[in-house]
Amino acid sequence: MADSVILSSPALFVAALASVGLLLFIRHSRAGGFVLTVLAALAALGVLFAALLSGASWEELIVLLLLDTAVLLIGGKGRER
Amino acid sequence: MSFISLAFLIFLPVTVVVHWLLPFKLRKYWLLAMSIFFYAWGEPFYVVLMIFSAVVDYCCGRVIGAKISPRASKLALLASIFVNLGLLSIFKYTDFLIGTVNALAGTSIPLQHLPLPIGISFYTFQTMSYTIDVYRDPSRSEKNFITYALYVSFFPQLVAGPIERASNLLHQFREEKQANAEDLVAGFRQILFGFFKKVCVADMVGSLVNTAFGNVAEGNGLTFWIAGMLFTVQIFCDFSGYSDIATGCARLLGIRLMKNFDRPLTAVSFREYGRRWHISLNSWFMEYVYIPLGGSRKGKFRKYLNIIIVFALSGLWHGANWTFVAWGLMIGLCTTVEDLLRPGFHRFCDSRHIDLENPVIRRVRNACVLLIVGVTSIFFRAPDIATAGTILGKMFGGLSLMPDSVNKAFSVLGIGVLGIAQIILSLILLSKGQEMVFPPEGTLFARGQDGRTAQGVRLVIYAFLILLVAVMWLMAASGNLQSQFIYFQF
Repeated sequence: MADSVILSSPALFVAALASVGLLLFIRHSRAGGFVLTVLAALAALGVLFAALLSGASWEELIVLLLLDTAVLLIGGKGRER
Repeated sequence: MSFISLAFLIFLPVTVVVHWLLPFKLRKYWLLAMSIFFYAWGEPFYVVLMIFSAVVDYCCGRVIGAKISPRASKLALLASIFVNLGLLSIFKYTDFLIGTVNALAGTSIPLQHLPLPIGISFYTFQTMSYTIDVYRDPSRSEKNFITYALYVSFFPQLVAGPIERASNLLHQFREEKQANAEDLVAGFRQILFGFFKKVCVADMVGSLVNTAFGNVAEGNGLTFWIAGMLFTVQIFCDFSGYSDIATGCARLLGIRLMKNFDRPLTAVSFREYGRRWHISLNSWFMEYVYIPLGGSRKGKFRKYLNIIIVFALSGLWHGANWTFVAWGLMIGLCTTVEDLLRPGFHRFCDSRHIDLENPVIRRVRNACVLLIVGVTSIFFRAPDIATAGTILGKMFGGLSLMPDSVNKAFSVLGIGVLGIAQIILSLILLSKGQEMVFPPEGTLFARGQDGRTAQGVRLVIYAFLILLVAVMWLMAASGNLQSQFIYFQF
């Protein structure tokens, strides 16, 4: 974990946390429509791309991507339910 | 051709699009040609073997269907069984028999090292089920050879099942259908989830299992408890992933294949596990071996003997090695012991007012089943009985949960915090992703949830899953992970 690029860079770590939190909020909130979900998903992809450019390992990127996908898949309590 | 290949990503859309563009009468020919092309890709010689098996069973079916005489029908049935079991014995079990004779008699007969034609265990069982069904009811005999050949060679299920019954598949090839959005979307979802299971879970977990089984001397008890459990997850995701892709591909072509797995890892008893795991093979053995042997109609002793025979044969079907027979026997013994203990266990629970259907109790029962399945899976994965014995000795003789032991287990497996996070997240996605393929009422993927928001959110989820599979696939392609399906070797 010591050589984790995402954990060792405060900016990336906060951005990753914020993007996952945003996805969770939008999917959980009743206000979460399609456009907001797409915007939050694009933000999450932006963080992944930034991590990739900063030299994050495959494992880190995959864990982050898994986390985003899990939140998208299970975080929904909004309109569709 | 493997589902996990770039060639397949071109093959599938071309096959599906042309299939729906062609007039109905030509579709069977197109599908048959593409199925043979699919099988011949990489294994051109063994197409001849598959066609030979199909021709023999077609002819046997026609002889039985013609009702010439009971004797002729019986001879045709025996010929079909003899040819199919003969092919299987020659290509799969020759070296196993020679090795066993050499070990028992001290002889040194040279091994033949015959290559195993892919899918032979699946299509021989499928064609045998056809002739047995026709023998039981001659009116089921298929007259059109092209339809029959397509039933044998239909590419989604040709290489690793589901082992279809003629009664489910043949009539679907005869019915004229139009492409419909529901089938296309459901097929696509199932393919995507199958790829997720295979590429994102099975291969990732498989690399850890390979590491553990490659370091038997170094691993401790905990290493192999973890490896056994992970192997159970790996083989489930690998095989059910294949079945999902197969079922999804067939659905894109308007064909419904039978369900091959029904969440076996949630089973709370061995009986339930057997009903949910590799349904097409277990029901095959039930229908064509267990019931003809007498099933449960000839007393308790015969019932349990039949169960053990069926599971031992199922083990032998999986591979020509005593480890597979031992695996089958263990599952058979567990099922038998559970059945024997069930009445007493239920009386005990009733007397203490324990509700076996309570969610917490169900979790505990499920954990017990998974732990035992994890132990039996050691025989499935180990290269030989001696290695399996060494591993079991470590599991039961040297299990420790002290920090040193835990550290050593994780270091042998080569897994860190990120790896553990990856496994946990993958398992969460695996259980929730099931809703995508078999959506319960009121959930995001259920029918009727077609509002604009739900549709849009579904698209975003598909996009993320595709991205995830693509990234993991890239990793596999770069040589870090295994990408062949385990059941291809059977």
